[in-house]
Amino acid sequence: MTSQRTLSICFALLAWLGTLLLGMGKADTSLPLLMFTVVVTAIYFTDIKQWFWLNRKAASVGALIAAAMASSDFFGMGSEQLLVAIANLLVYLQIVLLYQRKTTRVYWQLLMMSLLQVVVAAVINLTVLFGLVLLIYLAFLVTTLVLFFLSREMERFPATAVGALAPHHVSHRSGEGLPNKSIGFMAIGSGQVPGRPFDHSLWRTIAAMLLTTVTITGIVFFAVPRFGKTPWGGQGVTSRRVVGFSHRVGLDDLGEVFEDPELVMRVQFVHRGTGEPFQVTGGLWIRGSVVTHYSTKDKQWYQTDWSHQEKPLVKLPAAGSEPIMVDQQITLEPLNEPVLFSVYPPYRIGDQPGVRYDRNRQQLIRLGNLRRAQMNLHIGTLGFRGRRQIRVTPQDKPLRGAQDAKLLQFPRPPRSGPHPLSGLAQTARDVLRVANVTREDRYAAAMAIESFLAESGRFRYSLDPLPPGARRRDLDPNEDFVTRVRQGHCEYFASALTLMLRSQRIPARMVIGFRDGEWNSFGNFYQFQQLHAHTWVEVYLEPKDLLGHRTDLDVVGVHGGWLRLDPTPASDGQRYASRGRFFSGFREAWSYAGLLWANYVVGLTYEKQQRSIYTPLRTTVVDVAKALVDAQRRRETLRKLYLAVRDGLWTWLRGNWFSWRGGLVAIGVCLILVGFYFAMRSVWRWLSRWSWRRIETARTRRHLEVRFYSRLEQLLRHYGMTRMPGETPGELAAVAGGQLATMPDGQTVARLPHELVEAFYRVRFGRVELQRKELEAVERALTELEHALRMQRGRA
Amino acid sequence: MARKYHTTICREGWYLLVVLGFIIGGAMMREINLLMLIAGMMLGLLLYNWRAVVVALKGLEVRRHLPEGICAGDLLVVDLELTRTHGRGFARAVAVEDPVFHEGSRRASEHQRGRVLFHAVPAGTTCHGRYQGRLMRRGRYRFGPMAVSTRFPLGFVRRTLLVNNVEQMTVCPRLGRLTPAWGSLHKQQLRGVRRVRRQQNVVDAEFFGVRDWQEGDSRRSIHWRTSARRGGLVVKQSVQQRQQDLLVVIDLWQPGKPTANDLENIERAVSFAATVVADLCRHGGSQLDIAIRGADPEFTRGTASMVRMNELMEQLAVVDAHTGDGLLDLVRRARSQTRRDTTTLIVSTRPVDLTEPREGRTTGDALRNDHLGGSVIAIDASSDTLQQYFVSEL
Repeated sequence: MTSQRTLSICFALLAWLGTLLLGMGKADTSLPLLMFTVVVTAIYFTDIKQWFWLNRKAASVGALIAAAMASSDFFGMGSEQLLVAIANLLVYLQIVLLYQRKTTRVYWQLLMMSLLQVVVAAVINLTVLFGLVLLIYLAFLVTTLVLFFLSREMERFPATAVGALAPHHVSHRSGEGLPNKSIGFMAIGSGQVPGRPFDHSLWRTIAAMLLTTVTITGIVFFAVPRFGKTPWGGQGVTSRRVVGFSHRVGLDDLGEVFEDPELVMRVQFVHRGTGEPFQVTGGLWIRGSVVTHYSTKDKQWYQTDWSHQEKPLVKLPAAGSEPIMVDQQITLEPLNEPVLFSVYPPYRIGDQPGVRYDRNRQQLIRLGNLRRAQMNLHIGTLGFRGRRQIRVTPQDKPLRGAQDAKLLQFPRPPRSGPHPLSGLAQTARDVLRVANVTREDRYAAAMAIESFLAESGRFRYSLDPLPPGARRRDLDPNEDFVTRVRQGHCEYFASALTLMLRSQRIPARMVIGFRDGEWNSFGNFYQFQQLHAHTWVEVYLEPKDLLGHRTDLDVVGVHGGWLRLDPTPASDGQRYASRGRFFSGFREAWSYAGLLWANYVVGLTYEKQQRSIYTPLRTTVVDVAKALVDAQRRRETLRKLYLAVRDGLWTWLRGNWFSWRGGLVAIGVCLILVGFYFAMRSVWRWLSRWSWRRIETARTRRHLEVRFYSRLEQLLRHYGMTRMPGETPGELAAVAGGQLATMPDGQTVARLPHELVEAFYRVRFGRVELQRKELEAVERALTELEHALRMQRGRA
Repeated sequence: MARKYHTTICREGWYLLVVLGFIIGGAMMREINLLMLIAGMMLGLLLYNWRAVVVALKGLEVRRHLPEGICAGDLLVVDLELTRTHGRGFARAVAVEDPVFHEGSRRASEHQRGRVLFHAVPAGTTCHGRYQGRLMRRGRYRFGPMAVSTRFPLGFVRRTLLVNNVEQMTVCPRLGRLTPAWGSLHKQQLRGVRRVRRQQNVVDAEFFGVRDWQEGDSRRSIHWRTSARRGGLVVKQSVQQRQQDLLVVIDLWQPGKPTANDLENIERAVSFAATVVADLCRHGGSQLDIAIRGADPEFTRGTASMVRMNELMEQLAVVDAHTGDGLLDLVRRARSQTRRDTTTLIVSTRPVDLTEPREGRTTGDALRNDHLGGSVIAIDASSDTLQQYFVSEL
């Protein structure tokens, strides 16, 4: 009974985990919560207390209702939503099953539905958390399957009661086809060797099985060859929206986005010369899209209406020592936007299907079918000097007049009344005047205005919403920001700077992307979340504008370049860095796991498989084979191995032999482990005591069960059939049966002593515990026998 | 003892493979890596199951212990002994299946299996198990070859070890109870024999022992020398005073196409004859001859004893019915070899009318005319007559 209860709990948890996986894929918590409630109530009320359950008819009606509920989701939807509809139906059907009495059929159905749920979840779920929950699911699946198997085996081999093998039963049962009972042929029962099928060593077996299964899963997963050029991956049901990259961006839209910790992408920079990944010194700006047109009417920035000019990326040119050639390995989560993020200028390295470069807008874009899937982008850049990102991005072709005009777009003055940005323009003029810079010197003017916003101390970075009434709705937000409020997020700063520069006839544009990110020292990559979204400004400078200024002039070609200006105060970056420092190690590890998951599990492609698995494996095998054959090579290999281990160990010891933080963490972990050990030991002891009490109860029950034989003897003795010294219970039964047979109407009860004694033998010598039905049969036999003997005495 | 291993995929395993095929197909067509991961997971479970069953059955030995002999309807208890000589840990959920065939039965549906589940067999130990049953038909049964199998831990793959340890066991006819009417009939026949013996003044009595004199004892039986020595009357006892010789003729006739009733009559006749034989053998001392008109007519002679009983039970266990004639010839042949005063009990499955076609005489006439002496009891197992003398347990 206990094993049955464990089994029902395991199946219920399996159903819940399957629903949880689905819920994770749908980014919806309602179904997992519903299923959790159902699981708890079904276990308690239906399985343990047995207060209510659905019979076959009620379950059929429930299944029909579930199908009707889910059927509405099946119409007019795409394939992804259809999957979700199927998943919903599976959840509803599982709910119906959980409230049924648990039979083998119900268990099989629950198992199949749970597996289907996981299959659907695998299609719509892409995160590393899915992998973790899948591992937990696998552990429960293995445990459940083992318990289910043992339960079925015990059902297949029931300990056949001797009563069931009584001659009249056998005749009726095995004499099928033979009309007369005396031709009954044979009945062979089954048995179980007394023992404990669910002992502690079983859990060791389950653990070993889990470990082996995970290993085999890994081998199979990575060994099965992928094919095709298109990237493999799942299809997220809901790709995420980043407000900061819309074609229309309102100044007040971004407050929520900056606080959103949702992952957007991971970027790794690898030096092409050395092959080493590196961390960027100074700031890091990952460019996304560019907006150039500001409307005072809508108080929004738009992208320009320049025509598209989509072309493949230019191949990475050969470069000198500076700027260095860098590989950018970008893993982008599903996004609705076509824009891709990169350090500029981007160049093509290998084949990157579906990726285009819009030369007019100067941004990377991708085809629509790549937006829903997680995407791995592998491109090059010349945007670094050493480990520092270059501040100027070259313009690859001359700007047309129209483009130049757009870059100088400034709201026109109204027919009547003051200019909506007059205060902003006046401030710009004042800044230049104070800095003693003319607007013809674009570089110096731009730097002066940037410095005014970022470093003067008059402006403050803040994500906090202002109190009601603090902003004047009748003013343009930029005007209000520059002249009155002087507080806001990066969008205000960038917008204000762009307009201030344009007011001084300096071409500028706003760039939306990500800044800094979070460096992961485990995997040597940057991770960007929504909260890292950032806006800055780029000023167009002709080559002559850069003369005499200390900047990256050498990267600017004949067509000039774009100087990056970031007017947001420095506290912006510090804010990101200070978040969650205590758990930063864990977060980094988790993030790295996410990157590996995204790159090598969800996004494993033919090329990656070749590059990461087959080629190294082939090389290793060849090297080992050669080393085995060639003695000289073998010695060299072993020496290299030895040196690598020795040097690596020595370096590690020298640099990391002691750390207060590491020591404290180690002590903490040890204490936790010790506490866990004692807690587990207490639980184990409690379980042992509990199971011992159960065994004692079972023993007491067995004693009670043998009492029926004493009653039989007493009864027979009372009616003159005393067991003689040396006579076995079987002989007593034979004598009593013979005497009973000679009595009038005694034929029917003559067999009872024999059956009772056989049951006694099973309990006494076979150590078999009688089932409830058998105990009832014994009780009936005793009553029947007593009644017959009393009647006989009455007649006498 | 020949041993043969084979591995099969169970029904659940085939279901798993079908689901696995769908998942791999979906993963390939839609190019979804996570589906491939789940496929790998399921394949891992299947492979582990296969490996586990292969390891579990290594070094397993099984033995069977049959009871020495039982009667039809008795409880059959077969002990099994499972030894694991190699390996580590436990072999779990090991099922031993022992087929039981009645050699006279041709229908596969009548073949059954004794089955025992061993929950855990530790390495280097022997576990004992048993299965029980009831064999309701007399005859010779064949046990084996035994199949030791396991599907642990998941039930997807089964590994079976076939052990060719075939054994035979004879199940004797089921014994019934002789009624008091049979006792009366028997005593009546006994008095007839005594009368004949007194008339013929033949005392074949064999000395058995002495006992104190009781009222009613004949003075001729007083052992005077012992009486004088003991100072009280002592009488001699001889076995013939209580026992008589018996020739049991069993005629197991059945029509060409026997009905269920015909088959039942055959079994009833055999059971009755076996009960009479057992009864006589328990008392012992007398001559007990048996003539069986079965598929192969047989005639054997011997003194009633337990050994004789076992022989006859074995004989009766395997005797088959016949569809021909020739009962009278068998009786004549048997009687010609027995003593003249031997009582003949004819148990037949048809009305005992051994009329010779040419002469039109009945059995009684024929046997009386043979001048062989002794009385003849003819019992038709197909009629209600048998119920007067015998309570069948069938």
